[in-house]
Parts: sequence; structure tokens; C-alpha cells
Amino acid sequence: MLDFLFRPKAVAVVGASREPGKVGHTVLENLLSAGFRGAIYPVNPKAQEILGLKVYPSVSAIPGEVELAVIAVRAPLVPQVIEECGKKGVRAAVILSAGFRETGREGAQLEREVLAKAQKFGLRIVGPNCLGVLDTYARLNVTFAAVKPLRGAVGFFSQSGALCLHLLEWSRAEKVGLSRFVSLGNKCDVSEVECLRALGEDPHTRVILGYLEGIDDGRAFVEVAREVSCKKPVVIFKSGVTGAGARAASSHTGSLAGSEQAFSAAVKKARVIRAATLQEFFDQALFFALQPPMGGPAVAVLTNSGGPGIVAADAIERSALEIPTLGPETVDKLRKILPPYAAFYNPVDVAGDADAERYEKALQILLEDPKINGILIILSHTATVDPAEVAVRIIRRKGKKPLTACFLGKESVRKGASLLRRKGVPVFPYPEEAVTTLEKSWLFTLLSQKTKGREESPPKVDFARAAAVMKQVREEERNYLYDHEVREILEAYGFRFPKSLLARTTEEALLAAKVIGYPLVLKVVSPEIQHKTDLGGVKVNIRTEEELIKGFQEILFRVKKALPRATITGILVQEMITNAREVILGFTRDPQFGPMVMFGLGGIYVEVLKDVSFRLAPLEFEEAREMIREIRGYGLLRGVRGEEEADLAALTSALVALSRLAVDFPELVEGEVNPFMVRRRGEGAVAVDARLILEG
Amino acid sequence: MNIYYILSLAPHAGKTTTILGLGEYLKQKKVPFTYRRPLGGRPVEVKGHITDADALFVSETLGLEIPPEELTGVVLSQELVIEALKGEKKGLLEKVVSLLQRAGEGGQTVVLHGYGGFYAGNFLGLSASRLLVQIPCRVLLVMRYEGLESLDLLLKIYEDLRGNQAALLINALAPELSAEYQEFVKPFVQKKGIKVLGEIPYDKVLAGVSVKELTEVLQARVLFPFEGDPLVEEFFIGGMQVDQAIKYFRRSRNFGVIVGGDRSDIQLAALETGARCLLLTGGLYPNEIILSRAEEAGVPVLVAEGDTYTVARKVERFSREAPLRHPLKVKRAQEVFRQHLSEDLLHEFLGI
Repeated sequence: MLDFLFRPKAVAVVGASREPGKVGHTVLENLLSAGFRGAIYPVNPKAQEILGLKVYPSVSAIPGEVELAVIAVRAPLVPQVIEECGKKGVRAAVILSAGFRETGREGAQLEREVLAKAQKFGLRIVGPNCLGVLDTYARLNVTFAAVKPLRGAVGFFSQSGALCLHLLEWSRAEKVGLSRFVSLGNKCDVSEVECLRALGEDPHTRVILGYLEGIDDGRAFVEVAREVSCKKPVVIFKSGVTGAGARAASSHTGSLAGSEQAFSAAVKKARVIRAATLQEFFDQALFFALQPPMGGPAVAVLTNSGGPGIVAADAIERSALEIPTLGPETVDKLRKILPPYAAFYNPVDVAGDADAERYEKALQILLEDPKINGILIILSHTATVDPAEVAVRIIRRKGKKPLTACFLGKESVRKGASLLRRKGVPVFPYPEEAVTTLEKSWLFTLLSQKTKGREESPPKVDFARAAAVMKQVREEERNYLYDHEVREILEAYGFRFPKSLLARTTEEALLAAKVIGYPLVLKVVSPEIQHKTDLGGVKVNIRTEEELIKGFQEILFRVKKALPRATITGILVQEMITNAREVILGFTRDPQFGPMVMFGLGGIYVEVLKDVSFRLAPLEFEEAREMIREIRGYGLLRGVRGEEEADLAALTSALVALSRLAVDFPELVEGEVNPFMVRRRGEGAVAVDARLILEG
Repeated sequence: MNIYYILSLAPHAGKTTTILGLGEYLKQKKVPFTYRRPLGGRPVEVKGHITDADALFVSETLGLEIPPEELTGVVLSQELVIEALKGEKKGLLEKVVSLLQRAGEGGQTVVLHGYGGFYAGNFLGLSASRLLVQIPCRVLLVMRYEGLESLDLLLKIYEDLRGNQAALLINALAPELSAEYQEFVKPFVQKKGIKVLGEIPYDKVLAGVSVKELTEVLQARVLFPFEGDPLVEEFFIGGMQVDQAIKYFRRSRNFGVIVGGDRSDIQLAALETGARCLLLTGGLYPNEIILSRAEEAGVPVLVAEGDTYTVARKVERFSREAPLRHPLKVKRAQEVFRQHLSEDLLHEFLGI
């Protein structure tokens, strides 16, 4: 995919310049110094020869075929160049020039013009306003970066050119090479989704890094990312996740940064690794590029000092990793080579007087322990240890198990750390960072192993019944649903509701009570009242006729007091659901990622504690179960103090069904079943109240 | 001679909507008619004559060729009000009566357009009930049903109709009041002998605000020229988090957003969810990128002075009282009239 972009046979540099320091010069220089093997055609009407290459006055004057054009002319000239490229049959153009959408209305108009012309010829565009494209294996460097890249395994796509520059510097400093990178710029055509796919298909790329400010087609992104992350780690850093960040992003890129909830739900669905900080982002690249992934969660810590070992143990305990006690066999082996005052369990403390040899022997024993999946080596520079020598010994033992190192200190460990880096062992300044990389590596293994859950029979859904209701609403040109319609739709998706009848007078209420039976709940029904409880519009546990009459009147008095002008349709007399736990299910529609399902414990838990989980719809059963397990209040559903477990199967089915509803009817922008009363295991669940909001 | 007098209980109840609907209906039924407004409240000058802007709009929209001096009996100008309060203005009723007599000459059917609420103009001696004593009319009362309080006034007005034939038209009936109205209120008024021609449900198009008019009312700056004149059915205030804002925007069609010029996130969210207009407050200009997105989408961007609260209040006031001018609104007015009025009852009322 996009091979003509990364591995073109011939490249034209439009706007090639004789003047060093100019973009059009640097690109040409980069292309030459990368050793590009195809034809290079500089284009400039005013020059004859640049950097020893024959210059052509225009794209159309180039004698041979051109697959890729790199454009570095002033923005207003770009449409003309694109037109020429199109006629010439150029397949892709990387527009480095700035002065487009990022500058305002005129620039945006220009960008549209460029895109329209390109689309006319089927020409693909990277940028505009970008740093360029790089493929170290194809010896292609059409960037105007001053730093030359190293060849390696890291693939990168980025909405920020500055981060591309940083990556180049980082790559040289950490001795980690790059395979490909794409600076997306204004991404008027080639998007993050296509880059992700191209990097996924590239055999030289072992880890993919993506920096994003906004995603245009969230669903496509999730789909492709999920596919790619089965094969190789995809690490994403997304900025603009807070209110302030999102505002900054929207005025910088002109695209919505999107909601944090939706993005983190997307990350889960896509099974990609998300870096919380830029530091983590690059650390992760380092680890994945250099080391095999963790095969399991068990980490052994090898250290020559107690303190940092404890810090590492804390970090591991807080992570998804484990720090298991070593098996008797391993401990025996360690006893034989370590002094009696060393620590033989985990962390293994080879003691302050250890030398490089002791480190190496202990490392070898840990590597042989089949229970251990990865090793963190910590070194404090004591009088007896030569960090460089330890580095040499670590490198010697490097094998199939992932290793990371943490050499504490600065100057005195520099040589050792540098040796490790050069030979592919990532070194971090502190144990916590090393632990985070190991954790994310394990997460990658876990996620990529996760196959589609066993096929469970989908919840029974009567689509036609719900569709009939929606059809009726459309015919009546309504943009709201009546209560009974909401109920009908949800019933079609397997939800059960308590028995209820609307009463407008106490006499009607008494009659309703006879039909339904006590205990009862009374609820005010008014189109103007959303939160009935707040206004005193709900009375529960009504057990007698006297209580019913009193409750009925009290509700009316309270509501009239709070909202004198509210229209009261009546009072709903409803069967009271007892012995059940209250949860809330809902869905919203994210502009980028589409329908998203929400789950939480009901009542105060959702309002005060915000104890909720999110996933993108449609849900697989396993995802629904994850959502349920993810909330802090999960224990309450499992049952505490002898209480029986709630009917989690019914809850799971309800979540899956609601997610199906959200997908089946895009005109429903929002929905909520609240409270959803989950009874004991095997007894099912009942939707007490629900609302569905139609698109305007 | 048939004179149909279109009156309402309170101002802004939908008299113009009704007249446009009725006028179109009469034209379809080939019933020749003319139109007058006894009392008008928006003075405008046409060919040297002061007339009422709404009356002028109605007569033009219905394609009636009425000389401007004949269109309105009395136009409430500042001067007239002061003279009337001083007791210096006499003979207004006579002036109106003679206008109406001229209009109805030769048995011509006349549609009369009331002003404000039923009792408006009483201080000038020009209320509808006074006029009804002088000239017998068939009264079509337009009423917005807004709860039980509306009924008191309705019954009082019926007493004051002085035996003239009358019928009631309910306009802009809110869906939440519909059940209560149909079940209790309608049978109640019918039992009182009031004929109900029909109920026009609340209609977002009719309640809409034209962006051009809004620009004039707010004296807002328009940041780039836009095509046509979008109709905004409701306004949101973009003061919340983007996620929340999007939820609201999604529920609406043809919405506008009132938001601080510096809230680029909300502005983008509005554009992406299909807003018809961005009304920026605080006199703050938006980011260039937003402006280009808006221009691309053809969404007008207005910048108004004043904070969001002040601007929102002005907009709310204007949208409650927005005159029916926009072509889409006119078309809609005529549609709803046909759709929701019982034709039999209408014929009976019209006497045709």
C-alpha cells in the first residue's frame, strides 16, 4: 500500500533550489545523501544544474516517468504544479509548502483547489505543510530535516512536524533506527489510517508510533489499528485530551480533537498501546525496536543495591506485571554463586560488592528460569563494579527474553549505558520507566493473543419491531419519541420493563394499584421533568391504599412547588422492583468514533464517583464483560458480605443488545436505561426507566 | 359582504401565519378578497404614505394590489400615541370604519388583520370589541394554548364578541400539552359553544429566525458574505464541554450556536454537527482556521458585541417575536394551515 509513495522509481523535486539552507535544496541534498537509487529530477525554471543534477524547467519537461513529486514551491503556485503532475501521470505528491489551511480562509481555499485537482487525476497527496516522507530501506528521504536518519525498525506517522524532527534526533541519540516515517501535515488526503496500514504491511517496520491531534475517520482507524496490532505493536500518543488541550488542537489543526472517553474506548477496541506521555511514547519505541516482547507478566529484578530494587518492586506491583518469588531450583543456583548476605528471592540483590562477573552469572541463572518472562537489571555505581564491563556481560547474555536496564548515575555510567544502547538493550534513567515499558510490552502480547471470544449466541433482537416504530416516527416527522415507543424499541431488543399504568387522579391510581399489586412506585410524568427524584417526583415502596393516596398528592404538591408551570401528564403507578442492584446503561454517538456504550453503577455512583466504563459499539460479549469488571464498584455486583452475585449474564446481554441498537439505528443519538435493575443470578434484569434521543 | 376578522388572545399568537394560510386558501377556492389592517404598529413609509410594515408584507405576499393609503386605518406612531394620551386625537374609530366600508364596497370579501392582543388599542378607542359593534364580522380567534390560564381570557373574549360569529384556531400547540388539550380542554371549550377549527402544532420552521434579520437586530458583523438566508430554528449557548455540546447539537436540526469568539472547540463542534449559524460574542473574532471551515461549509459567522448572556437574551426575545418574513416560513405557514384545519368547519365558518 502506498508503495509509490515510499518506494518510487523516480522522484521529481519541484522547487529545487541552488541555495543551501532552502527547503528545495535540503530535500534534494537529503535524497542524494540517502543514496536514492531511482531517477531524481530537480525542477526549477531558473536553474540549469543543482548538486550535479540536470534541472528541468517544469514537470512536463521531464523525459522519464515520475512516480513521486516533492513540492517545495510557494503555496499559490502549488495548484498549477499539481495540475502538471496530474497530466504527467505522477502518482503521489508530498507538499512541503506551508500557506494552506493552517493560515486561514484563503489558504483553505487553496488547499481545496489542490485536492480537487489531485483527485481529478487520481494523484495522492501527503501534506501540505509537512516535513516530508522517509523510507530508509528504499533510501528515500524527501524531508527537509537537517538530521540524517539511521536505518532501523521504528515506523512513525505524525501530525506534528516538530515531533518528526525530534524523532530523528532521538533516533541518533538512542541508536535506534527508523524504517519509515510520514509527516502528515494538514492531511488533506493521505490520512493516519492509510499510513498505519502501510507501516503495518512494511516488513522492515517492527514497531509503529503514531502521534495524533485529531482523527478524521475514527471507525476506520480502529478497524485498521486492530488488524495491524495483531502483527506488531502500535503505540499511539494523542494530544488534545483535556479541555484546554482540545481547544489548542482545534485552533491549531481545524479539526476536533475528540473526546477522551471515546478515544480511550477506541484504544481498547483497536488493541493498540497508548502512551500517556511523550517520554513513554519514545521509551516504548525503544523497547519494541530493540527487544522481543514479553511472553508473560513475570519480571525478575537484578540489582546491586536495595533501594532501587524496592522502587522497582513497587512499580511492578502497581503495574499489570508480576514479581514472582523465584523457584527453589533458581534460588539454589543463585545461592551457589552469590555471597550469603545477598538476596536470593525477587528482587535478586547481588549486593554492593558485586562485580561484573557476579552480575553475569546471576543474569544467566535468571534467564534460565522458565517462570521468568523478562528481566530488569539495575546498577548503582559502587567501587567494585565497572558499569561498562557489566554492559559487555549483559550484551553477551542477550537472548530471547526481553531485558531492560537502569544504570543509575550520569557521567560515570555513560559509557556502559551507551554500549548497551548500541547493542540493543534499552537503558532508562529510573526503574519506573523501565517497568512501564515492560508492562506495555506484556500488554501488547496479551492484546495480540486475544482472539475473538468464543461465539456466543447474540441476544435475541426483533429488529423489524423496532424499525416499525422508527418508521412511524419518521412518517410523522417527529424528532422525539413517546415513552411507549421507547419502551417498544427496547423491548424489541430484549429489555423487560416493570408493569406500569398511568393515572391522572387518585381514583385511577387506586385502580392501577389493584391491577399491578403492591409494593409500588409512583413517578411523576411530565415532558418538562427529566430528573424526577430531584423534584420529589418519585415515591417508592408504597404498600397500602392510604400510602398511595398520600404519595400521589405529595408528588403533585412538590412538583407544583418546584415547577409551577410544568405540565403534568399524570403519575405513573409502577411495579416496584425489589432485591436488585441498580446500574445504568447508555450510549452516545461520538463524531469520530461513532456509537459508544457506557456502563456504571446507578444513582450516586455514576453522578458522584463517575465510576463508569466505555466501549465502542457494537460490543462483543467479552467486551461487555470487561466493561462490567472495569468499574470500581464491580465487587458490589459480585456480591459482598454473603450477598449473592447479580445476574451478570443478563447484564452482559443487555449491554450487547443496547450496543446493537446503537449501531442499528444511527438516528438515535443517545440512549439511556437508568435505572436498570439487575436481580440475583438467574433472575434477570428489569429496565425501570429509559430514554432514547433522536437526531434533530 | 363577508368580513373575516383575524384576532388573537395575546400578541405573537400567529395572526399573520393564519392570514397567509387563509389568504392562500381563498385564492385556491377562487374567492376574491381584499385585506385591511385597522390598526398597525410598525410604521413604514411607502410612496409618501405611512402604513404598517406587517400589513404591507401580507398584501405583497398574497399578491393583493392595495394602495398603501388604503392598507391601514391607523398606524401607531410615537406622535399619535402622545396625542392620544393627551386626549387630542379624535375620530380614529370613524376613520377605521370608513376605511373598512370602502374596502367592502360592492360586497367584496375582506380579511381584517388584528393588532396585538384582543384588547390592544383600547386606549385609542380602537379595540376589536369596539370595532365589532360598528361592523359585523366573522371572527377567527387565534390562540396559543399555554395551560389553563389561557382559558380565562378566552371565555372573557367570547363574552365581548357582541354576538358576532366566531371560531377558534389553536396555534403552536406544544407536543407536551397536546394530550391534556385534546382530552380535557377541547371538549370543555366546545361544550361552551366555541367552534374549534383545528390545532396547528408547534412548528420549528415557523418559530425560526432568519440569519439576515438577526444580523440587523443584533447589529452584528458578518465575517464573510454568505448565500441565501438560513433559517435557524433554535439557538444553543456553547458554554459547556465539547462532549456535552455535541449531544445537544445532535438533537437538533437547523440550529445556531451562541458562543464566545475564543471557544474554537465549540465552534468546530458546531460546524461538524451541521450548525446553520455561529453567533460569536464578546466582540471576539474567531481563529482563521475556524473561519475557513465555516466558509467552506457555508455557515454564516456573526460577531456581536456584548457577552454571551446579553446576546442570548436578545436572540431569545427576537425569536419569540420574530416576524414572519422568510419565504420558507411563509410556505410553511400556508402548509400547516391546510394540513391542520378541518375543511368542513372552515367552510362553515367562512360561509362559502
